[in-house]
Amino acid sequence: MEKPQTINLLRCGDNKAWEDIVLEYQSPLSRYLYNMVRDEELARDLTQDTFLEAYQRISNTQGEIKLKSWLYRIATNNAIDVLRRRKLVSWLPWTAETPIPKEPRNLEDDISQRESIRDALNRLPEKYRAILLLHDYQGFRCYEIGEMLNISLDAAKKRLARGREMFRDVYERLEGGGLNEV
Amino acid sequence: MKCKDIRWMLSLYDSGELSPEEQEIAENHLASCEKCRQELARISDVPELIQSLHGDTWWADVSLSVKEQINASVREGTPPRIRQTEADRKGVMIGVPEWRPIRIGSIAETFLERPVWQRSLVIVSALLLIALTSWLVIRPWEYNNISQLALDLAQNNAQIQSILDERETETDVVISDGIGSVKFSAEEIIVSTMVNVEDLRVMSIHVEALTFLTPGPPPLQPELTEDEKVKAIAIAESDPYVNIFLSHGLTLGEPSSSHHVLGADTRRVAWLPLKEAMLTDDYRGVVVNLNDTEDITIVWGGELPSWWPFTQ
Repeated sequence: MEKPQTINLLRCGDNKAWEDIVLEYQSPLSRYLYNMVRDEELARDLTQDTFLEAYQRISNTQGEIKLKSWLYRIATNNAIDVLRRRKLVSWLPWTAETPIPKEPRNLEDDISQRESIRDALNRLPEKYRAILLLHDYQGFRCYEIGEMLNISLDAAKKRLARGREMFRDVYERLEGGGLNEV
Repeated sequence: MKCKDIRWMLSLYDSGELSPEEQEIAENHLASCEKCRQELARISDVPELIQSLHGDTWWADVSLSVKEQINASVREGTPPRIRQTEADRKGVMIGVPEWRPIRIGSIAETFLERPVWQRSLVIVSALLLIALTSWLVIRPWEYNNISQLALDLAQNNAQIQSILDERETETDVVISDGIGSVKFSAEEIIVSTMVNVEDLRVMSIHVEALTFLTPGPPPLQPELTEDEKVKAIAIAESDPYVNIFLSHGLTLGEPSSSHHVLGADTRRVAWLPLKEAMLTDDYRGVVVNLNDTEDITIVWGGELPSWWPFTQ
């Protein structure tokens, strides 16, 4: 967790403090957002927006804040907002086209597997996708995610459990050829 | 304890997320249930699969662009411009107007040179403009109408009721009954943001803004006719996406299930018994999870409603 002095510097708009924060978090945040939205350009924009929104809003916060959780909260809310809006204006049926990942498929198993994992994640509702990535990819604990998403610890645990079950089902079907890959 | 009651614990078994009591319950059940042991074996590698995404090499370097935006905002004394998110959320591009300096004295001179009746007209117009602007900013009718609309919907809509019952705040609720569209957010509880009123006719209400509401009368659940039920069941058959969600306990009689079935007149919303393996191709669209996992909306044959946004 950042020291109180760091948070104070950020609240004062200290350039160096903000540069350090961006350098520290841009890589994990942008990877998280890429796995959320599966679109490099959008992930880049959302990453930038996360920092700018944090810069804009941090002066309104008081006392101690867990900066990392707070940044991921902003990022998650914005990603879900964008995904929902996109979904509302362009419904994607089960076999619909989705943005083609820029990472080319090749014969290497691990890359292919990661694409399958992203494929499966992409088919999950945003809130389950988010909690799987926050917990199993970014290493947040359920109590942290509960605070981050403003849900109870119990709700976070059950959402994670359900997300894992859904992911397993979808992933198995994709791997088994039971569903069209997108 | 039944398997379905502890199923969620299996997904978190040995993850450090279960309380000691929950872990013990899971252990005791696993010791005596072969089926659940198999399920545990099947699901236990999910965290590892997700973690394998760390093998990706891509990441976005936004340090320069963020720095430029922040510097520009400091220079101009305006908040930093947030592009993608705001634009996507509001449906418009946010921009900062360019202001050019105007010499106030020249305006005063021009004004004083005008005849008295013209000056009077300008003053009266300005006062009217100020009054109208104030009224528009306050917008008392919108406050009342939207609050009333939200109250009515919250008290009469089964989907909102079920989410309020779960006490899971921060959840958007979509009501697609063709009435209109209002969105509440944590920061904009009453200063409402109208979203997609004309096109989508989807109402999204932030539950947190509504938790103060007292429970209303029982939710309205208009009954479908037998013929409509048969048609709707036929629609859902063999749709793999629906099946995946149904296989997670979203079956008939579950309190959490809310399989909305909209008839062609779009005002008919009813709970429907959906089960696996009961579907045909005769459907226009199946929308799963518009905003929540349990929300499955089906529109079947016949004319699509004019507001229906999902065309294939």
